[in-house]
Amino acid sequence: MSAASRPENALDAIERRLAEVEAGLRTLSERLEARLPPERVCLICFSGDWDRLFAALTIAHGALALGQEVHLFFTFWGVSALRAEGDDECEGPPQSLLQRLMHRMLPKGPLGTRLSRMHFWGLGRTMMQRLMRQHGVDDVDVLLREVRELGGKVHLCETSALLLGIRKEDLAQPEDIDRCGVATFMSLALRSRLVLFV
Amino acid sequence: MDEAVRLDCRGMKCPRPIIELAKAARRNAPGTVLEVLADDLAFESDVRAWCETTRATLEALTSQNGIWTARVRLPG
Repeated sequence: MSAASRPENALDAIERRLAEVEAGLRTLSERLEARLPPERVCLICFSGDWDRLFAALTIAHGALALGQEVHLFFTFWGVSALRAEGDDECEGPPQSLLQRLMHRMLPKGPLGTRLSRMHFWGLGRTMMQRLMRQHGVDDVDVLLREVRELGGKVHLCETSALLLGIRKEDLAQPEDIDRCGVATFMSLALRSRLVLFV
Repeated sequence: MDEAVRLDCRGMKCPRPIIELAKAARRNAPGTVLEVLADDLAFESDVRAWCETTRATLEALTSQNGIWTARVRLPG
């Protein structure tokens, strides 16, 4: 009987091979894990409609509840949702006539947004508000505040804000808003589990 | 300090400064230092993100009278 064919030697060889395979698998899984994007969700709040904002904020809540890092990018019509409620005129750098016009016509803050359908000159909005109160559903101002309290990061598209005549002075909690551009969004979106355009 | 290629993006709004930066990165050899001037409010955040994603090195980023100056070393 040759040395290699003895049962204890064959067993040794199998064990050695197994250890090699195990080590190989460990390296492979480490390498794959390193390629996995971080637990991050990016939401693009493009629409200035109340219902879409409601959906985006609800998703943000869900993501935060599941331990995800959440980034909300407010761009174009969505920028209105970051405005402070109330007064039309406030201090700030002077604007052109067109910017002032935009500034005046756009919704002021999350509660100023309109329903994308059945708005009925504000009647639909009032109806919806009543339904929400009846059923204990939070409105968008509460949702937005809570998303921020829970650590959701708010980004604002600088160019949109400029075009819509929305200045730093017009924003609610401007110190917590990252005024950024498309490169900031892209670098986060590329390393996210989920990106949604709302 | 290495001689830097200057890129004047003053007056440009997002995404223009980043596009110009990307174009300059393509025109210039790896390791080149670009000095970018910009006054877009989004530039501070964007140039950091651009460097991180493209693996360029942001050697300096300073602001004076609302104008940002970024020294960016191209990767490679």
